[in-house]
Amino acid sequence: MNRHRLSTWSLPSPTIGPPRGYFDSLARWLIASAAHHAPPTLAARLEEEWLAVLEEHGGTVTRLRHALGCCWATGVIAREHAEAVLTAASPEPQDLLPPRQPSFLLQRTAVALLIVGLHMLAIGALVAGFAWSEIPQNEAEATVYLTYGHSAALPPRSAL
Amino acid sequence: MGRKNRDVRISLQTLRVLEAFLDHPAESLSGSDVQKRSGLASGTLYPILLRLEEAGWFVSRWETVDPSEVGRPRRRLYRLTPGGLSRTSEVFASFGRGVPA
Repeated sequence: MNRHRLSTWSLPSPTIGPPRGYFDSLARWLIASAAHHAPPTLAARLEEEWLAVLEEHGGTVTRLRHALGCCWATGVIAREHAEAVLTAASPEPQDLLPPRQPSFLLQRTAVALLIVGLHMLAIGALVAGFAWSEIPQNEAEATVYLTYGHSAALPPRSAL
Repeated sequence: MGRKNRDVRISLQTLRVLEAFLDHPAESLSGSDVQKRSGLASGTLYPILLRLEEAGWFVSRWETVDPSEVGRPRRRLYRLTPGGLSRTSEVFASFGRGVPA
Protein backbone atom coordinates (compact mmCIF):
# COMPACT_ATOMS: atom_id res chain seq x y z
CA MET A 1 0.00 0.00 0.00
CA ASN A 2 1.66 3.12 -1.26
CA ARG A 3 5.00 1.44 -0.83
CA HIS A 4 6.37 3.33 -3.82
CA ARG A 5 6.50 6.51 -1.75
CA LEU A 6 9.30 5.06 0.30
CA SER A 7 11.64 5.15 -2.64
CA THR A 8 11.59 8.93 -2.98
CA TRP A 9 14.66 9.94 -1.09
CA SER A 10 15.36 13.43 -2.38
CA LEU A 11 14.44 16.44 -0.32
CA PRO A 12 11.49 18.37 -1.73
CA SER A 13 12.52 21.18 -3.99
CA PRO A 14 11.78 24.64 -2.62
CA THR A 15 10.81 25.81 -6.10
CA ILE A 16 7.66 23.71 -6.45
CA GLY A 17 5.36 26.43 -5.28
CA PRO A 18 4.49 28.73 -2.44
CA PRO A 19 6.01 28.13 1.02
CA ARG A 20 2.91 26.22 2.13
CA GLY A 21 3.47 23.69 -0.64
CA TYR A 22 7.09 23.35 0.25
CA PHE A 23 6.35 22.67 3.90
CA ASP A 24 3.64 20.20 2.94
CA SER A 25 6.16 18.34 0.82
CA LEU A 26 8.67 18.51 3.62
CA ALA A 27 6.16 17.06 6.07
CA ARG A 28 5.32 14.24 3.68
CA TRP A 29 8.98 13.53 3.09
CA LEU A 30 9.62 13.42 6.84
CA ILE A 31 6.78 10.96 7.34
CA ALA A 32 7.96 8.76 4.47
CA SER A 33 11.50 8.79 5.87
CA ALA A 34 10.24 8.01 9.35
CA ALA A 35 8.11 5.12 8.12
CA HIS A 36 11.08 3.79 6.16
CA HIS A 37 13.01 3.46 9.42
CA ALA A 38 10.17 1.69 11.20
CA PRO A 39 10.16 -2.11 11.50
CA PRO A 40 9.41 -3.59 8.05
CA THR A 41 6.13 -5.14 9.17
CA LEU A 42 4.83 -1.74 10.23
CA ALA A 43 6.40 0.61 7.69
CA ALA A 44 3.65 0.70 5.07
CA ARG A 45 0.86 0.84 7.63
CA LEU A 46 2.45 3.66 9.59
CA GLU A 47 3.15 5.70 6.49
CA GLU A 48 -0.43 5.48 5.28
CA GLU A 49 -1.83 6.12 8.74
CA TRP A 50 0.40 9.11 9.42
CA LEU A 51 -0.21 10.63 5.99
CA ALA A 52 -3.96 10.33 6.59
CA VAL A 53 -3.57 12.12 9.91
CA LEU A 54 -1.46 14.76 8.17
CA GLU A 55 -4.40 15.53 5.90
CA GLU A 56 -6.56 16.27 8.95
CA HIS A 57 -4.19 18.90 10.29
CA GLY A 58 -4.78 22.39 9.00
CA GLY A 59 -1.89 24.67 9.83
CA THR A 60 1.61 24.41 8.45
CA VAL A 61 3.16 24.39 11.90
CA THR A 62 0.77 21.69 13.08
CA ARG A 63 1.57 19.55 10.06
CA LEU A 64 5.30 19.93 10.55
CA ARG A 65 4.89 19.19 14.23
CA HIS A 66 3.01 16.01 13.38
CA ALA A 67 5.70 14.98 10.90
CA LEU A 68 8.47 15.57 13.42
CA GLY A 69 6.47 13.65 15.99
CA CYS A 70 6.26 10.73 13.58
CA CYS A 71 10.06 10.79 13.26
CA TRP A 72 10.35 10.65 17.03
CA ALA A 73 7.72 7.90 17.25
CA THR A 74 9.61 5.80 14.72
CA GLY A 75 12.70 5.82 16.89
CA VAL A 76 10.73 4.69 19.92
CA ILE A 77 8.82 2.03 17.97
CA ALA A 78 11.97 0.67 16.33
CA ARG A 79 13.79 0.47 19.67
CA GLU A 80 10.91 -1.30 21.39
CA HIS A 81 10.54 -3.67 18.46
CA ALA A 82 14.24 -4.54 18.59
CA GLU A 83 14.02 -5.14 22.34
CA ALA A 84 11.00 -7.40 21.84
CA VAL A 85 12.84 -9.40 19.18
CA LEU A 86 15.90 -9.76 21.41
CA THR A 87 13.79 -10.81 24.38
CA ALA A 88 11.92 -13.35 22.28
CA ALA A 89 15.15 -14.79 20.90
CA SER A 90 16.74 -15.17 24.31
CA PRO A 91 15.37 -17.77 26.76
CA GLU A 92 16.46 -15.70 29.75
CA PRO A 93 16.66 -11.91 29.79
CA GLN A 94 19.78 -12.18 31.89
CA ASP A 95 21.52 -13.76 28.93
CA LEU A 96 21.59 -10.36 27.28
CA LEU A 97 23.74 -8.91 30.04
CA PRO A 98 27.49 -9.36 29.94
CA PRO A 99 28.87 -11.76 32.54
CA ARG A 100 29.81 -9.95 35.72
CA GLN A 101 33.45 -10.31 36.60
CA PRO A 102 34.53 -10.96 40.20
CA SER A 103 36.53 -7.73 40.29
CA PHE A 104 33.52 -5.68 39.19
CA LEU A 105 32.74 -4.43 42.70
CA LEU A 106 36.41 -3.73 43.39
CA GLN A 107 36.62 -1.59 40.29
CA ARG A 108 33.57 0.38 41.34
CA THR A 109 34.99 0.89 44.81
CA ALA A 110 38.30 2.04 43.39
CA VAL A 111 36.58 4.52 41.10
CA ALA A 112 34.46 5.82 43.99
CA LEU A 113 37.53 6.27 46.15
CA LEU A 114 39.31 8.03 43.32
CA ILE A 115 36.41 10.46 42.94
CA VAL A 116 36.29 11.13 46.66
CA GLY A 117 40.06 11.67 46.70
CA LEU A 118 39.91 14.14 43.84
CA HIS A 119 37.16 16.06 45.61
CA MET A 120 39.23 16.22 48.79
CA LEU A 121 42.25 17.44 46.81
CA ALA A 122 40.15 20.13 45.17
CA ILE A 123 38.71 21.26 48.51
CA GLY A 124 42.18 21.25 50.06
CA ALA A 125 43.54 23.33 47.22
CA LEU A 126 40.71 25.84 47.62
CA VAL A 127 41.33 26.12 51.36
CA ALA A 128 45.06 26.54 50.79
CA GLY A 129 44.37 29.17 48.14
CA PHE A 130 42.26 31.20 50.53
CA ALA A 131 44.90 30.94 53.23
CA TRP A 132 47.61 32.04 50.80
CA SER A 133 45.65 35.10 49.77
CA GLU A 134 45.31 36.27 53.40
CA ILE A 135 48.83 37.65 53.76
CA PRO A 136 49.19 40.17 56.56
CA GLN A 137 49.97 43.72 55.53
CA ASN A 138 53.41 43.63 57.18
CA GLU A 139 54.47 40.55 55.25
CA ALA A 140 53.43 42.14 51.99
CA GLU A 141 55.56 45.16 52.66
CA ALA A 142 58.47 42.92 53.65
CA THR A 143 58.21 41.19 50.27
CA VAL A 144 58.42 44.54 48.56
CA TYR A 145 61.55 45.34 50.52
CA LEU A 146 63.17 42.11 49.40
CA THR A 147 62.31 42.77 45.77
CA TYR A 148 63.73 46.23 45.80
CA GLY A 149 66.44 45.50 48.34
CA HIS A 150 69.37 46.90 46.31
CA SER A 151 67.79 50.11 45.19
CA ALA A 152 68.64 53.23 47.02
CA ALA A 153 65.14 54.58 47.12
CA LEU A 154 61.89 52.75 47.55
CA PRO A 155 59.35 53.13 44.75
CA PRO A 156 56.43 55.34 45.53
CA ARG A 157 53.61 53.56 47.32
CA SER A 158 51.19 54.29 44.47
CA ALA A 159 53.39 52.21 42.10
CA LEU A 160 52.87 49.13 44.24
CA MET B 1 0.98 -9.52 16.67
CA GLY B 2 2.96 -10.81 19.60
CA ARG B 3 1.71 -11.72 23.04
CA LYS B 4 -1.86 -10.87 23.93
CA ASN B 5 -3.35 -9.35 27.04
CA ARG B 6 -0.05 -8.90 28.75
CA ASP B 7 0.93 -6.11 31.06
CA VAL B 8 2.16 -2.84 29.71
CA ARG B 9 4.02 -0.04 31.34
CA ILE B 10 1.37 2.40 32.58
CA SER B 11 2.61 5.95 32.35
CA LEU B 12 0.61 9.13 32.71
CA GLN B 13 0.47 9.42 28.93
CA THR B 14 -0.81 5.85 28.65
CA LEU B 15 -3.55 6.70 31.11
CA ARG B 16 -4.56 9.67 28.99
CA VAL B 17 -4.80 7.46 25.91
CA LEU B 18 -6.91 4.91 27.77
CA GLU B 19 -9.07 7.67 29.18
CA ALA B 20 -9.81 8.89 25.66
CA PHE B 21 -11.59 5.60 24.99
CA LEU B 22 -13.51 5.40 28.22
CA ASP B 23 -16.50 7.59 27.39
CA HIS B 24 -17.56 5.20 24.63
CA PRO B 25 -15.51 2.02 25.05
CA ALA B 26 -17.07 0.32 22.03
CA GLU B 27 -16.29 3.23 19.74
CA SER B 28 -13.45 3.07 17.22
CA LEU B 29 -11.20 6.11 17.21
CA SER B 30 -8.59 7.23 14.74
CA GLY B 31 -5.19 8.39 15.82
CA SER B 32 -6.14 12.03 15.33
CA ASP B 33 -9.31 11.52 17.41
CA VAL B 34 -7.24 10.11 20.24
CA GLN B 35 -4.79 12.94 19.79
CA LYS B 36 -7.54 15.53 20.15
CA ARG B 37 -9.01 13.85 23.23
CA SER B 38 -5.76 13.12 24.99
CA GLY B 39 -3.79 16.17 23.91
CA LEU B 40 -0.71 14.08 23.27
CA ALA B 41 1.74 14.75 20.47
CA SER B 42 2.23 12.25 17.67
CA GLY B 43 5.64 11.23 18.91
CA THR B 44 4.14 10.15 22.22
CA LEU B 45 0.80 8.84 21.04
CA TYR B 46 1.73 6.31 18.35
CA PRO B 47 4.27 4.29 20.35
CA ILE B 48 1.63 3.99 23.08
CA LEU B 49 -1.07 2.91 20.63
CA LEU B 50 1.20 0.29 19.10
CA ARG B 51 2.34 -0.90 22.53
CA LEU B 52 -1.24 -1.33 23.70
CA GLU B 53 -2.19 -3.03 20.45
CA GLU B 54 0.68 -5.46 20.71
CA ALA B 55 -0.30 -6.19 24.28
CA GLY B 56 -3.84 -7.01 23.16
CA TRP B 57 -5.57 -4.08 24.79
CA PHE B 58 -6.49 -2.54 21.43
CA VAL B 59 -7.30 -3.84 17.99
CA SER B 60 -6.96 -1.71 14.90
CA ARG B 61 -8.36 -1.86 11.40
CA TRP B 62 -8.56 0.32 8.34
CA GLU B 63 -11.60 2.48 7.88
CA THR B 64 -13.98 0.98 5.32
CA VAL B 65 -14.48 3.99 3.10
CA ASP B 66 -13.62 4.76 -0.47
CA PRO B 67 -11.05 7.57 -0.37
CA SER B 68 -12.21 8.91 -3.73
CA GLU B 69 -15.76 9.24 -2.43
CA VAL B 70 -14.99 10.84 0.90
CA GLY B 71 -12.17 12.95 -0.49
CA ARG B 72 -9.58 11.95 2.08
CA PRO B 73 -7.36 8.98 2.79
CA ARG B 74 -8.71 6.14 4.89
CA ARG B 75 -7.87 6.26 8.56
CA ARG B 76 -6.64 3.60 10.94
CA LEU B 77 -9.20 2.99 13.68
CA TYR B 78 -8.43 1.72 17.17
CA ARG B 79 -10.86 0.06 19.55
CA LEU B 80 -10.56 -1.34 23.05
CA THR B 81 -10.83 -5.12 23.23
CA PRO B 82 -12.95 -6.69 25.99
CA GLY B 83 -9.75 -7.78 27.67
CA GLY B 84 -8.29 -4.32 27.24
CA LEU B 85 -11.40 -2.76 28.72
CA SER B 86 -11.20 -4.99 31.75
CA ARG B 87 -7.49 -4.23 32.18
CA THR B 88 -8.21 -0.53 31.77
CA SER B 89 -10.92 -0.85 34.38
CA GLU B 90 -8.45 -2.48 36.75
CA VAL B 91 -5.88 0.24 36.15
CA PHE B 92 -8.30 3.07 36.79
CA ALA B 93 -9.86 1.27 39.74
CA SER B 94 -6.42 1.11 41.28
CA PHE B 95 -6.34 4.89 40.98
CA GLY B 96 -9.78 5.17 42.60
CA ARG B 97 -11.76 5.84 39.46
CA GLY B 98 -14.49 3.67 37.97
CA VAL B 99 -15.02 2.79 34.33
CA PRO B 100 -18.43 2.72 32.67
CA ALA B 101 -19.54 -0.85 32.12
